Amino acid sequence: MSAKMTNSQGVETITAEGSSDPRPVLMLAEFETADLLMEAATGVRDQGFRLWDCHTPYPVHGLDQAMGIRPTLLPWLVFGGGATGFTGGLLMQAWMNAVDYPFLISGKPFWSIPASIPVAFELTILLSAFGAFGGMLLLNGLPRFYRPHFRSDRFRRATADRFFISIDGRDRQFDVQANSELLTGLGATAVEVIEE
Amino acid sequence: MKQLLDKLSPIMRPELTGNAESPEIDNTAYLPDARQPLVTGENDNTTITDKVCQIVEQKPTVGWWMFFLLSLSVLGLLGVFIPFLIFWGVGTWGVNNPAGWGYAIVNFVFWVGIGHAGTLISAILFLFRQKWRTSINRAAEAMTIFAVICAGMFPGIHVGRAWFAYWMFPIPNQMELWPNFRSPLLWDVFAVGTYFTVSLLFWYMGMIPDLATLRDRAKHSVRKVAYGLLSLGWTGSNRHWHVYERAYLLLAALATPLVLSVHSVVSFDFAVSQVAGWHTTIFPPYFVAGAIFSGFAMVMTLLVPARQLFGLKDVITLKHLENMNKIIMLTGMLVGYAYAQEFFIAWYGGVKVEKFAFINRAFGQYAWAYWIMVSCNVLSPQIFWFKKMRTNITVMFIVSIFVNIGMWFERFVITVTSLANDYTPSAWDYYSPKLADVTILIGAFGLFFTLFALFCRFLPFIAMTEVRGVMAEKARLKSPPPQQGASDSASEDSAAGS
Amino acid sequence: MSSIKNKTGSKPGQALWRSLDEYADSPEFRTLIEKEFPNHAPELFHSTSRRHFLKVMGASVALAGGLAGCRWPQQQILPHTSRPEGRAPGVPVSYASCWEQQEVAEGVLVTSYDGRPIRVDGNGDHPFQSGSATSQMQASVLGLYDPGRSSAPTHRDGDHRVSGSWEAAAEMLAEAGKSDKVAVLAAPKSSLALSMMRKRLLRKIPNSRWHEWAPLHRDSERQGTAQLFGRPMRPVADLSAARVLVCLDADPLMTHPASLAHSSGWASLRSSADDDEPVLSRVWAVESSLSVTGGAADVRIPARTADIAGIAVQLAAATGVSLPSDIAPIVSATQVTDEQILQMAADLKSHAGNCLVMAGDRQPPVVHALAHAINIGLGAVGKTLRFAEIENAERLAHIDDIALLADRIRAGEVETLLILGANPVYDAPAMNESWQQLIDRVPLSIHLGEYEDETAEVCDWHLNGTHFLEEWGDGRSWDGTITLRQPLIAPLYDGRSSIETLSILLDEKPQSGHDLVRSVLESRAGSDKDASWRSWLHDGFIRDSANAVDSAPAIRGGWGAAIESALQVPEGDEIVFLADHSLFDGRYANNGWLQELPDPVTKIAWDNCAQIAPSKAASMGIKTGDMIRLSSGGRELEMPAFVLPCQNPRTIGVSLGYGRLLSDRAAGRLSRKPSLYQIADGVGFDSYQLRSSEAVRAGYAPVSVARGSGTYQLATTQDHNPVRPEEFMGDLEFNEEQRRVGEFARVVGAGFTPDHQQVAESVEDAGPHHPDLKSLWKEHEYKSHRWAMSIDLNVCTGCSACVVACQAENNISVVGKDEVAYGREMHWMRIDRYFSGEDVDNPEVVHQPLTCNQCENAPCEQVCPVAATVHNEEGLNDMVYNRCIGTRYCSNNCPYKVRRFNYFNNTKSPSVTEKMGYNPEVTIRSRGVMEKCTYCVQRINSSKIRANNERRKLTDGEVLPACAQTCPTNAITFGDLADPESRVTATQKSHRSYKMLAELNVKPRTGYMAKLRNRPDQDEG
Repeated sequence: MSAKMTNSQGVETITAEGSSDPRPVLMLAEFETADLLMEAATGVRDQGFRLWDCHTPYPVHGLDQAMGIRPTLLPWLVFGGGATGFTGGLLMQAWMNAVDYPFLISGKPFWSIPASIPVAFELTILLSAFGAFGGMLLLNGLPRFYRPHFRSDRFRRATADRFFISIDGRDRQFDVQANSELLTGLGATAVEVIEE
Repeated sequence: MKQLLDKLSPIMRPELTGNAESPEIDNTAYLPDARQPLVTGENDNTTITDKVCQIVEQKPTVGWWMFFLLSLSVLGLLGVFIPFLIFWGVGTWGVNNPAGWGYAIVNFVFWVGIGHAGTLISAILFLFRQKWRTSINRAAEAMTIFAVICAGMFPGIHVGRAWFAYWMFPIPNQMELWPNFRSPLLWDVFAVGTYFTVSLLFWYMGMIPDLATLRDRAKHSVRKVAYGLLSLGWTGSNRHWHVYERAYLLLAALATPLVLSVHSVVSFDFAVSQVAGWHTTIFPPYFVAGAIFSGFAMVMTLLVPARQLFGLKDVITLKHLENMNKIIMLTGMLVGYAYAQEFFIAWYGGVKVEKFAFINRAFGQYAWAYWIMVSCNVLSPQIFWFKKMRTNITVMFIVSIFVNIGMWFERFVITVTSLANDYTPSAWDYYSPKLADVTILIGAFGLFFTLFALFCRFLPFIAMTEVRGVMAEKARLKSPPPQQGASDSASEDSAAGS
Repeated sequence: MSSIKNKTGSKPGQALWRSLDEYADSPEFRTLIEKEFPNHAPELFHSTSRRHFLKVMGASVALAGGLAGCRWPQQQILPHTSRPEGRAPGVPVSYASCWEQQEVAEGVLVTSYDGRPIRVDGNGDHPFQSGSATSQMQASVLGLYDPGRSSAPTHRDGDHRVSGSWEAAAEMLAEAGKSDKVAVLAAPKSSLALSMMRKRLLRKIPNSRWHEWAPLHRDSERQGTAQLFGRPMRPVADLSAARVLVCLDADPLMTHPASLAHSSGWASLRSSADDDEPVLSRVWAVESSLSVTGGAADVRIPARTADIAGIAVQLAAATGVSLPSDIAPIVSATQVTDEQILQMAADLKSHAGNCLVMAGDRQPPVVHALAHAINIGLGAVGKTLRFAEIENAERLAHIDDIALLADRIRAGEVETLLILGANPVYDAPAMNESWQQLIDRVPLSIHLGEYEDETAEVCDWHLNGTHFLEEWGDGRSWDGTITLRQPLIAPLYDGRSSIETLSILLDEKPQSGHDLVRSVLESRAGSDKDASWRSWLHDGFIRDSANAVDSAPAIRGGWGAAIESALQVPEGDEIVFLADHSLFDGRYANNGWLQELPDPVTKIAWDNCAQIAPSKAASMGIKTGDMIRLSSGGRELEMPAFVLPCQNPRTIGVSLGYGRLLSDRAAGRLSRKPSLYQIADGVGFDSYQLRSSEAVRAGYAPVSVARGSGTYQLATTQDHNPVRPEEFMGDLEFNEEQRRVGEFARVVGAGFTPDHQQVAESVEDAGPHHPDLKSLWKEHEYKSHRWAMSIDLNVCTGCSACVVACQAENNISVVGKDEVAYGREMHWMRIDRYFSGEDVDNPEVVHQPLTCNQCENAPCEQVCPVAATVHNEEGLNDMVYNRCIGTRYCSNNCPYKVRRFNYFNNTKSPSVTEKMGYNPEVTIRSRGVMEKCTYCVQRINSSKIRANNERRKLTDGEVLPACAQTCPTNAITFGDLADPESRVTATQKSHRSYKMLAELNVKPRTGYMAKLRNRPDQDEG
């Protein structure tokens, strides 16, 4: 449970129950459409904010540029996984069938590349996939089951049909007053402050 | 068919709000300078979200219970006959000396084949930017997972000493004895294992945002917790979307060769051996085509009722169904080509035994199975040359059933006829199934539909996020269909500038 | 009929094992076992491992000094090996003994592990025979351990049978011995001891009489020689000298009592075909039903059994035998043309002296007379044939003898009837009234036998007899050589042999079998009686004890008188009764190995059938498996038809010995199911029902064939029917199998051999053409031994002895009819029988033994995911049972389909006696595991160990797989390819040698040598 109060500019503040010296940790601004969000994002970016983010129910194209996000290094993780899978696969088979316990099978050589390709290939794919999924979680810091955002009821629609900008309380330029004005100026239909 | 479904709808369908009672809209007509909308009716993010979530949030309907319990009882057959099998030995099956493989392997290949459409629809169509995939990929992927589960069951139980089946994994025994990596069966273990894992990741990763939606809409605390855990604390943050989309793209890029490799490896089980009728280089592409073919047919079998009963007509539109029918017809002809090619090579190669193997296949003791296969797989899809037919719900449903039957028989024909009459005629014999074969075959379907029923009930049936993405343009620039179509095609790059 | 169907329709594979389990749990068996193994009875009933079982056995030897458990025989017997004293446990020891069938003893060597005989092989030292053994000899060891044997004397008590004791039985016998009017009905034996007892009985009891009955006998041969010479004589043939052999309905290579000697002799003129100067005999077979000899023959002429007399007359005339002038030529009655007969005659004459004509026991006496007249005329006597004297020449023909017994019973001249081993109720034709009724007329009837059979059921007393491995005895081989029998194990069920039983009947102080046998042979011993006794036992026979030979027997005038009558034969279809290749006359009905052994000719297991010619079947619209009704002389029987190429269209061939059905009468009376019916019950059809006294006399009977009701499943291990029905109804031709025969079993005319260097390749249609076989990789080099086998199709007769030998050596389980019908038989070795030629009624036959070829590039290995089958350094394709998980992929990928899979647990809780019969050198396979031929790797290794201990190299031929050891024609050569001198290297270099399916580049180690067919038309070429 949390206490709610709305100030003069209609900025709603949500404070955690029983917290002595509440201080704001997050500011949320709701937008109706992706276009409004896009413009707002550009504005916020130009203000030079660092610890801020957009929340959309689906990936909005162009928003990355609008926010100025740098390309992720995920592909390198995937490549690493794939390389490990391939070499590891080949080495495993060579060691098991030709070194550790050689079999005399159908008069064939103990070790040959062609017969080892299928397994090596599958392992390549497998480990790359682990790289992609695990990398995604790692870089996004998931899973993370608690976030201040969840304290806002409005925010529930961020995964359905509303668009949000959130500014972290630790951002150097964070200031309830100024920021809320800025965001409303950029077309936010509602602004919330989450306090601890 | 339609009438039947309409009758069923009241008991199957949850109480729907808004314009869910959507009529069948024909969006398959060709527009000279535009594309037909992929989502028909007056829909926006809100209604789509409602529609999809309602399926999960409403109380389970009578119809669902009926379907679920029926599947469950069929699944019960497995519960009875697998212990029976393990206790008495594989002799309870019809396999005998020339035909060492029977229904078990046939079913294995059949289900692996079914399991291909899902990842294919998701991955390959995703790479080709086929937006129409978004309405069907979730269900298709789910189907993949469940089909592979059914498939994976069979290699385990078909061996003579099931309790030692784990020896196929590279685990050293007390003698430090390792498996034999030259055996196609071992390749299978890796291929199918990888395929299952990757498909599962792909499916789950695609679901995370939708699970988050369910979490945020959840009223009941249990659901809150369950979906909360499953959605890993997703907030739709764009910094996350950025990595997420890249990861999804890469997974798709990995899954595509994987799909092709898995059934190639399965086909190696046959192609690498030297049994006449198995030892054919055409098998990998032939099997892959067959797999896509049967996979799409099964998706069709599942979606035609589902879209009707869950009121998703304007999400899974006629256009989607028609596209799938086109693919079914194409792959069906590919398969037919492979059949013909086999005979040509058998004749052209001049190997006596192989020539006999194929003549025997078409005119020998299993000719009946062969002709069932041909008429179901090659002939029945030809009806889709006619637009009327490929947009007719009833027809496409029936054809999809035929294709499923035909593809099962394809595997039967390949596996059994080749074995029953191979090199040494004095060893020839006739393979015929026993009770255990049939019950386990049926039971597998029970398992499949049970899992699918649970999926419909508890997980987002449609990839809402992606559908929103597809509707995004429509929602954004309010413009008449033509330009909408145009911007749709160009959206990837144009969106950035706007 | 329907009852049989129901029985055979029961659960798959359970028939055999289930009944044994039931039996193992039955209280009778528990008591029996407690009697058997007093010290350790309890443990035996827990599911003990074989190891534990052996431990128990060992313990009981130690504790009870061998009286319990292993049951060493109590008299001093002598091992065949060089170490008579002291036994090393676990070291197999072999003893010489003898096995008897059809009044002819075969010397055998019995291998015994810790006092448990586990193998029977031929006695190679025996003057008359080789070291090989027939399938029935091989299987006899299973008969010893058969839990179905009767375990105690039983006697009638009012309406039931109750188990008695030998004490009570002895009193009863002694009492019976006091009465006069004793009649004995004995199965004829060549034993001297038994004939001594016979004489003593006849001397002691004034009104007693000795009758003999066997359903299959050689009376017509005795009578024929008697017609010719005035006294019956035994023709002893030497086929190793017979360049031309004519068989008139004769089967010297299989059902003839001297088949082993004949086979090796015949083979010696076939396998020598590789020499620079090829000597290749020619065999002509004139017969009504396909016999093993007929299959091996170069020219086979189908004819009615009834018509063969006429052919014999023609042949005799053509070879210049002087016949009564008034005999009209009646060849027109047969399908045999004059040309064929003249060809035969010419062939015989051109090899005068080195030729032989043999008549079969189904032929009337006069045919035998004619045959020997021809032989004498062509100077065969002394070269290919000699006439030996035989004892008790005066005895009646069996059928007359038993008829006489019937009359005497009706006349009330028999108060006590003692039946020794005979089973008239089952196998003797009824004499106005059935033998059941006849025996009931006798005040006291006593039956002695191994089984509680049909006769035992109706007798007042049944006494359990001994197996030949349990008793002392003797016998005479075909040429009369006295062959000794010593017990390998004390009677498992405390039985008594015939001579012991007679001794109880006659003597105040009954003598042991040992003393009886020794006393009767005493006269032949030298000065040191003990020494000669020991040497006899050691050798297993008495040297130079063969019967006297009449080098120039005088032909009696007017011998041809009977010819005229012999030529008066009825027209129409005939039925002939064949000795079954497995069960013989039914005596082995309870032997699982023999029941499961596919018939060499029909490939049917677990059944007999009515063999019918394709053309005949087509004309009647009958397919294999259809029931047909046979009626002959008022008797009727419905049997399944089997369409058999080579069968004469107007002859129905039916083998004897099946259809043992527990009579309801007995069922009501017996406390439990009589032991015999454990396995035999309801298997096949009782063709004795059709066999009248006339049929026994004539050797055939007129029959009318009609469609029966319904169909019946026959379990064939090969083609389900050699001629496919669909083709059948249209133009008669062979199916795919026969069309491709040339690729597998290659046959060439003898004309090829001298000039042609690659006979095997020269065969038209010899496999697909393929480029030179090259490997994509560097092939593995085998540095040590390279074991290999080569099989000479030219001498393989398909007799199937190797199959049983393999089964005995390798503990191969029996799975029962339904599993065999399902294609799940476990035999590691199968003998493919191919027909070739255009005429389906008389094609040529080829037999091809097929077992694991031990391919160097074994296709089975690369597909096994767990490496359960891999190559060893000697190039053997090893099967690792305990690693196998049973994917069955190896079997799928085996082009020869020689791998066998345990679909069920075939060795679940075998009875205690069965366990005793297992070969401890070979693992018992569990359920879900693949198995196959190993080239008898256990023998290879034990030979290597022996050689190592003796610090020497293995010598060629020292390692001998069971199949090669037992093969009567030495068709199988085994050895080391690494040794350039070895026989197998030579045979594989032979120009007749080829590899089956070589085009697959699997590099089989087993090679085949093409069959040579010495057709007369090639003489010029």
